[in-house]
Amino acid sequence: MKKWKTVGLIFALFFLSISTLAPQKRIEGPKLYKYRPVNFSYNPHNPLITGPQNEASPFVADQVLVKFKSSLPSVMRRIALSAYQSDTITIIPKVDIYQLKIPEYTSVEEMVYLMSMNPFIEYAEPNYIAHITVTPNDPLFNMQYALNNTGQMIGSVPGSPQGKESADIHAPSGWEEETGRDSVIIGFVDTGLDFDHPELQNKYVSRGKDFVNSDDDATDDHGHGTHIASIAAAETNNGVGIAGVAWNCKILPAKAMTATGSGSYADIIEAVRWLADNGTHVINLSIGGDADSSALEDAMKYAYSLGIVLIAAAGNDSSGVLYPAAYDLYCLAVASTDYNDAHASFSNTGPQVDVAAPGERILGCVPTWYPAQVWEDFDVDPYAYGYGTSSSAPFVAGLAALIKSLKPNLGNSDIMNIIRYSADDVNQELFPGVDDNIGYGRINIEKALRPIRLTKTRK
Amino acid sequence: MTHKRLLLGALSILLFLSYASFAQQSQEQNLEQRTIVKPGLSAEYFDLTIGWDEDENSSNLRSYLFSTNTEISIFDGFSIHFILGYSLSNFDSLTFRELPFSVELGVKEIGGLLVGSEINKRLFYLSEYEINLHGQFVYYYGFNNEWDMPDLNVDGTITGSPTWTRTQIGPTIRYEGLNYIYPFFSATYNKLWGTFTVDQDIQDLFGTEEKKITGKSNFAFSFGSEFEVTPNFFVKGALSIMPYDGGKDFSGLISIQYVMQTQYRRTP
Repeated sequence: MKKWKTVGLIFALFFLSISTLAPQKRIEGPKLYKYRPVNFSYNPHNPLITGPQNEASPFVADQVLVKFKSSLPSVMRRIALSAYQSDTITIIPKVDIYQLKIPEYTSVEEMVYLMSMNPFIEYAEPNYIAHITVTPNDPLFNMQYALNNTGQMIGSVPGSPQGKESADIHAPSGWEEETGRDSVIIGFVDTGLDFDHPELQNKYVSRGKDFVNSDDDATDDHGHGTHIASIAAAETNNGVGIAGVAWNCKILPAKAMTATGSGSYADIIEAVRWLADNGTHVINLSIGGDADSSALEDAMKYAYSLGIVLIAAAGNDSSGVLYPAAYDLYCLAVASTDYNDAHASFSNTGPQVDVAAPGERILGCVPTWYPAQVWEDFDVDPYAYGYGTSSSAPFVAGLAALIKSLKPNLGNSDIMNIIRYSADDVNQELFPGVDDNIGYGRINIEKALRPIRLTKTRK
Repeated sequence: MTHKRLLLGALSILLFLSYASFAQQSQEQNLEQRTIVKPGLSAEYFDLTIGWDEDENSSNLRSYLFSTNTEISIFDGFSIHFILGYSLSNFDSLTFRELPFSVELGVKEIGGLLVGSEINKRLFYLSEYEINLHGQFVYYYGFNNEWDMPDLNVDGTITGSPTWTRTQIGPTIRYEGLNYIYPFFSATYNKLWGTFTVDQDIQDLFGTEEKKITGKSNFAFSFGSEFEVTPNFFVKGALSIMPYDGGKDFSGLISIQYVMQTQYRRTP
């Protein structure tokens, strides 16, 4: 008798294990494999992203969603549910989907498997949890179509243009992977920086260098430099103003352009060299000249040789690419697209163009002393819209800084290629492949940063 | 590192016990000796939660193992198995972030060779229960695979090959009070570790990353039974639960074995 008790116990354990194992096998089934978490992946590189993104479970722990075959009468459905010991929370009308609470002793995966085996159930799946993508709390973010184009009105007065949805650089989904590290520095060769601006006052490494006035204070006396730097790296998620591309990266200004917006090549060369020698990882040059210069090219070459990513604006006079953007070996030349992902009419063209970024109605910071009415129809001081490839380049500089933050071991040529190869060929219907208007295409932060899922095996 | 030391220790104990048993047997000169060879086939499936990036991330390793499993019992109470076979392993959602372009593996069964061995040593009898020490070592060498890099505006590929090693060691309790059916239960230290190395090649962008993986569970509780279909033909089935902090994994095994027996008597 004792012997049979032992056998019975062993068999009970055996069958219990079979019933427990079976659902796990089914996890391989198509329904669960189809699910690919987009917003749920834990990202150790991005500690700023908190909340749902870091949660372990991608679905509600004790619930499943079930759809019975329409031919099954409701009484039979109730019998089936009682067999599964699941309680109906609600039946979602019109689509006839049951939201069920499952018993505590089983898991969602097991229940989904068991229910999927039932020929009267069309499908059963976990009650997945969705999240909004990373959206900064800066109040003007919804006006920054270039970062996230929802087809919103671009302007604050009646008659303002409206963009095309997704004609943007896909920033929010890219930020899920990386928002930048404060060890990464973006240098700006421009008119300087407004160090008192609330969006920039905590972002600069030092007061930079002024090569126009030969001092160590690159205060912006024009406005251009402040606007450009804010596009790349304005303080973000601070509940104030706009969002920058690289939330946490730092700014180092080098003033080479005067209050009238022009500057000598000598000052530009000095500024590039100084930034290169002072720890920058990316240098943005939203400036350009018509003349080719070996000296300027040498300065770019020098910075490039130190592993710095160089970004320059292609120019805004519908002609050939300006210098230094045209120094193709050392620099990414950036053209402009608009809020419909079309090539901006003013944007210079040429084989040196590498990529494009939005350059029409780009919201950015202006110096706090700036007369607000100068900048179009926007009336929230101290912010304004900017135009041109000057405004496009810092989006690319911000992306370069994000890549450097995420993958510090990558060299500058690799970062430049990642930016090129991940761009969206938004004019492929007219000019498939690399072309003179937008190069490889409009940059895409999501594709450059987030893991790409491999599905297609080569034979 | 700790689990490898533990494993080495356990294997040393097993080897020592085996040696002691051999020595004892060889002294019993008049005992009838038998060499039993049991060629067999086995199929196993496991679904293991694996940790990577120093356990900061996790995904599942799902593997099918098909192998020939030849058991050689040189003397009563001690047997060695030689395992040779093929495995399909799926590393879905394993993510490589050190490459120029980060990639995440999709659903794909990667074929590979399987080699290993197993040792069973009877320790003692307790009434009708046979207490054994069981140790197993299995190594999977995955074939090289190549994927297209999707979503980019240029062509590119990823090539990669995985390996993993699994070890188990621990006691097995086998009930021998029935005819033809031999139920058993085992509690083993059970560890899996491995690597997945990938190379990225996109125009002039190149990168290599080696991802180390480890099974989350360290222990397996298995139960099953061996069925004597004929005196020379056995069928075995077993199921394992592998708990870990925050969940549990499973595996299932079925095998068949044919008994070939050689008998001889040693002269004193």
